This record gives sequence, structure tokens and C-alpha cells, in this order.
Amino acid sequence: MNDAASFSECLAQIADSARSKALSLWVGAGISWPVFPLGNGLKFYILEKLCDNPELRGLHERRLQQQKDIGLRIEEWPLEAFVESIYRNEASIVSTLCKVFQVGSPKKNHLIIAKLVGKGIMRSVLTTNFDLLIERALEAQGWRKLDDYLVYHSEDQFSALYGDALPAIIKLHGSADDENSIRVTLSQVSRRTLTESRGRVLTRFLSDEGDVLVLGYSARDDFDINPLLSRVKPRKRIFYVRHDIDRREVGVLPSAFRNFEGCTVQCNTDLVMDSLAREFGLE
Amino acid sequence: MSLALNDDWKTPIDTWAIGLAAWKRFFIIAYILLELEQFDESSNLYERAKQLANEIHDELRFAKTLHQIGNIHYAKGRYDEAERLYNQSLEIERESGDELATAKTLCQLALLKHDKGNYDEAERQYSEAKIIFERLGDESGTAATLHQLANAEFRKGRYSEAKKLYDQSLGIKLRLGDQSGIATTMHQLALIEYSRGNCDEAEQGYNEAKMIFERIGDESGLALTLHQLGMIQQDRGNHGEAEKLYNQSLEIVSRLGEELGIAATLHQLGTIQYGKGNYDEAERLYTRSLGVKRQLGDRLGIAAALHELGRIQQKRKNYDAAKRLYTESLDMSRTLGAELVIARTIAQFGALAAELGDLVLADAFYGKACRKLKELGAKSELEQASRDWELIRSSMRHSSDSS
Repeated sequence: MNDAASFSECLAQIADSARSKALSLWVGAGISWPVFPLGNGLKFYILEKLCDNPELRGLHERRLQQQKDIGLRIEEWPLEAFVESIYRNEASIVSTLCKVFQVGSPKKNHLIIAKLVGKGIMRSVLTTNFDLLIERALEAQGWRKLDDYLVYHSEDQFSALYGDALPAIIKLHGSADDENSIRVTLSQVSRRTLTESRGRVLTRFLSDEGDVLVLGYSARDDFDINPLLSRVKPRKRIFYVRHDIDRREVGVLPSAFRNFEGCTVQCNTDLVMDSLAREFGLE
Repeated sequence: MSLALNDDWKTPIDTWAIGLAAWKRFFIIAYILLELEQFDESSNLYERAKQLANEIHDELRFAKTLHQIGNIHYAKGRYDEAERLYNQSLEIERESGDELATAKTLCQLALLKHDKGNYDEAERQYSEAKIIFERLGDESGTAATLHQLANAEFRKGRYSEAKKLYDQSLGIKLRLGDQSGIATTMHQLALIEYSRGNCDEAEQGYNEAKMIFERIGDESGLALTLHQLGMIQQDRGNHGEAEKLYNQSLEIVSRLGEELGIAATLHQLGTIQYGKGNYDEAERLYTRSLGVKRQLGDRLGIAAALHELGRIQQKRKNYDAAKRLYTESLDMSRTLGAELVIARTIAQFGALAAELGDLVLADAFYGKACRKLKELGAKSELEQASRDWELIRSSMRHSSDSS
């Protein structure tokens, strides 16, 4: 797409792609906010609770909170590195985070995604989220796992061949309903064998012709996904939605997707989802 | 279906945190602060964790905390204090039969011994730790000790052996996804390429390591690669770029209070000033670097600084002072078995002899230095020394023809 493509043309292209059943979805943490916090929200809440001690509270308030001096360093720290530093001393943090992402009810956008999948408009949804909100939205539409759709969330499943008999939810970093599958520490995310397995599924996802609509995803998975994106032979066109409630602009793709064709659509994510819902009468 | 805009997600974290004992809270926060190189705050919290472990008579937790406090002293270059704490920790861990903790502490002690120049002792402790890690099936520990044993081979100038061990270590680290370990070993593999004179390969390796250090927020590692990239630029004659990289590195290590890094970078800035002919400024920087190295007991660093100070005296035609400094440097390098520094100093003796008009002696020194540099595979240094040696031989031929 050239730089001059207008915002509305871009939305129309997304709708066209969905109509011709060529559109897949890639969603990140932003889509599940505010049911769940984003990375920094999670880090600072864990930190606050760790410092819930009369002797630690002062240090927390003075230096560890967001915007404070050490807090600024923690903000820059990848979530996986932060969790790793706790995990090395208290392994139960992983099962705790698993429980965190087991709660919650789907939002409007999850329901739209479920309807798009239910109507056969989209055949696959790839996500880096652990949460169960898309599955819950599908269940709310009367769709049953294994009968009506499949969820791939572990390296073993990624390694197995996956056909397109049923719509698929591909959870690249695992799923909160299977603690062994979630990849939340730095070493878990970047372990070579796991990376290879995720690489294969991601390659399959991106290797067919068609388009991908990316929503709520920061494209900052530097330890596993981004290196793979730089190696994959791109065939799909990417529509990368950067959430910004004050803008409606079209620009170049973020560097993680630099090998791909496509564009960044800077706008309120809800606007894209509402436009798809309107297009297919899902409201 | 209603939208769930509530704090349900917080409950598992609240429950988890309530179950954490006070010692654990202090220990985890101190650990996070240490990872972020906030040494003073981290140290305060570990001290409190130590008191708490003592109060509950938990010897293993006490030992684990001592080990961590030792790590802080080590990072700050307070080696004697670090060694005392590691030994105290090791004694408790051995007595209580905690093999994993024993191996980890042995590794730290070995690291410290290495920095102090007690290489044989360091190698012995790494080997003991490696056996324990292998017996326990601890891949991460095995990879770490392989890396350190590779360092020992590297120091001896046995680059092929070192590379083999680094590659083994890197293989495990890649499998485990140990980003920090991957970057550190990649850095060392780049250092081997650099020592062999393969600057382009070295630069590529350093840049890959740098990217990982940046990504994981490891400032100390970042400073190290900036320093090495500076050395490559300096070798290419890009002194301005080199100085910029050294100063970036110096800014980080000064902020972190990493004395060893400060000393190394001051030394390199000294070589730049030397290259510009600013001998007074170079001397000031080398002397500052030497002071820090002497405080740390970094004998290899001391030998290198003495060597450079000798070159300045030679430039000033203070030949006796130069000879004294070279001799002191050579003696120290020989004790340490630091072959590369030995070869450099022998070549420098050659230059000194030539300057004093003793071409026969210069020829002998250069011959010895070149053979040693060839053995070590130090390509670029060998090229330089060979050029100088050829000049001597050509002068000798010329004078013999004239007579």
C-alpha cells in the first residue's frame, strides 16, 4: 500500500479482505485491556504487593513506583525479564500469573472476534495473550471447543500438523488454563526448542496468501517473535492497528514487520472493530 | 454479557504475596535491585534479609543471603570482602549438603580468584563446580562453568580450545534461552576473533551481544561491548569514534561504580592520547587506571598499564625508566602466564634495543615476540611486530653491506 492511501480506504481494504475470507487476526494484550493490565500495570502491581511490608513500603513509595527513579528503569524492563527475576527466587509466581489470566469476562471486541469466527469470516486468530477471553466469547456464542473450533497453545500442539478443518485460535505464548504451556519468563520465551516450535506455527500462519489484521499488539517480543518475523518469507499483507484515540492516520509498518507489505493504521482500535461489525451486521 | 471492568485479576497476586515470608520479600526486592544494578539499595535489603534469616535460624537462607551480599561486594570490586562472604557461605552450604548452592558459590569464588590472577585455583574450583552441576543435571550451571573454563583457555592463549568450550556453553545457553549468558558468551567469541585479528567478525559478534545486552537492560554488559567496539574503531584508525565509544562505556561503568571497567576504559583512553602524541595526558590516564588496578589486585591489568607507562618513558627517551617498567610488567605477566602481554612486552624490548642502537638484540627480541604472537594466532599484532622486525633486519643487512 502506498503512503497516500487514506484512512477510509484502508478500512475498506480490511473489510474487503474479510469479505473475501482472506483476513486473519493477530491480537495482543491491548485487546484484553482493561480486563487485564498491560505489562507495566502488572509489574508495578506485583512490586507493590511484594513491598507490602512496613519496612519496604517507604522504599517502594520513594523509589520503586512508576515515574520514580528506579521505577523508570523497571518500566523499561521487559515483563519477561521482571518475572524471571522473581521466578528465580520464587517459582510460584508463574502459577500465580496463570491464575491471574484465568479470570475475567470478554469485552465487546472479543465478542466481535467470536462472531467473525462464528460466521466463518475469519478462520484463524493468533494471539500472544494467555487469557481465555476469546474462548469465553466463542462459548458465549454457543461455540464449543474441539467441536466447533480448536485452540493450539502448547509447543507439542504447535509441532503437530494443523489443518484448517475448524477455525483455530493459536496462543503463541500458551494458555492460562494449562500452566505448563505459559511462557512468561525470559528463559521460557527464548528457549531455543520452544522458539523453533513457535516459529513453525508462526511461519505457517504467515506463509499463506491473504491479510492479517494486527490489534492491541506492541510488536515488542524481541526474544522470540521479532527474530522470527525478520526471517520469515512474507506472503501476507499486514494491517497493523496502533491504538490512538486522537488520530486517524495511515503510516508505515513498525520495524518488527518491516519485511511485510502493508501499513499501520493509527486510530482507536474500537473504530476498526466497529467498522467490521457494521460491515457484517454483527452489532 | 456485561463488561468486566473490575480488579478480579489482582486477587491471585494478593493471595500469593500474603503467603511470602518477610525474608523472601526482602530477598526478592534486593535481587531485582541487584539486577538493575542498584547496589546500595540492594545491599541494604540483603543485610536486612540476613538478619531475618538469622532470627529464624535458617542457615541455608543465611548462606544464600551472604552469597548475594558477596556478589555486590564483587561487583563493586571489594574482592577481599566478597571472598570472605563467599567462603562463609560455602562452609555452611558444604556442611548442610546443599550441593547446588555449593557449586554456585564455588563458581563465584573461582570468578574472584580469576580476577585476582589466581588462575590455577580458579580453574580447580570451576572444575569442581562443573562436576557437581553435571551430576545434578543442572544445565545452566554446566554452561556457566564451561564458559569460565573457556575463559581460562583464552587467557592462556589457547584460542581453539577456548572456542570449543565457548561453543559448547553457547549451545546450552541457546537451548535454555539464557539471554544474558548468550550475550556474554557471544561477546567472548567475538573477543577470540578480535585477538586473532578478525576485526569484522569480532565487530559483528560484539554488535549481536550489544543488541541482547540492550534488550535485557544489562548496562554492565553494554559497557563492555561498547568498550570492545571502541577498540575495533581504534585499530581501524577511527580515533574519534573510538573515543566516543570509550566515553559512553566510561559513563556507564562510572555510574555503576564498576572499578574494573573504569580502569580498563581509562587505559584505552590513555592509548588514544598516546596515539595523538599527548604523552602527559596519556600518562595521567594510565596512572589513574594503574591506581584502580592496584587497589583491585588486577595483576594482568597492572602488567598492561606498566607496559604502556614504559612506552611513554621510551618516547621521552628515559630509557632506564622504560626498561624498569617493561621488566616489572614482564615479570608480572610471566607469573600469570599471560602470553599475549608477554609477547607485546618482548616486542617492546626489541623496539627499545633498536632505539639504543643494539640491532642484534632487537632482532632477537622481535624474533621471539613474533614466534609467540604467531603461536597465539594474534594476527594484527603479529603483522605490526613483523613489519618492525623487517625494518631491523633490513637495517642490519644495510649496515653489513656498507661495512
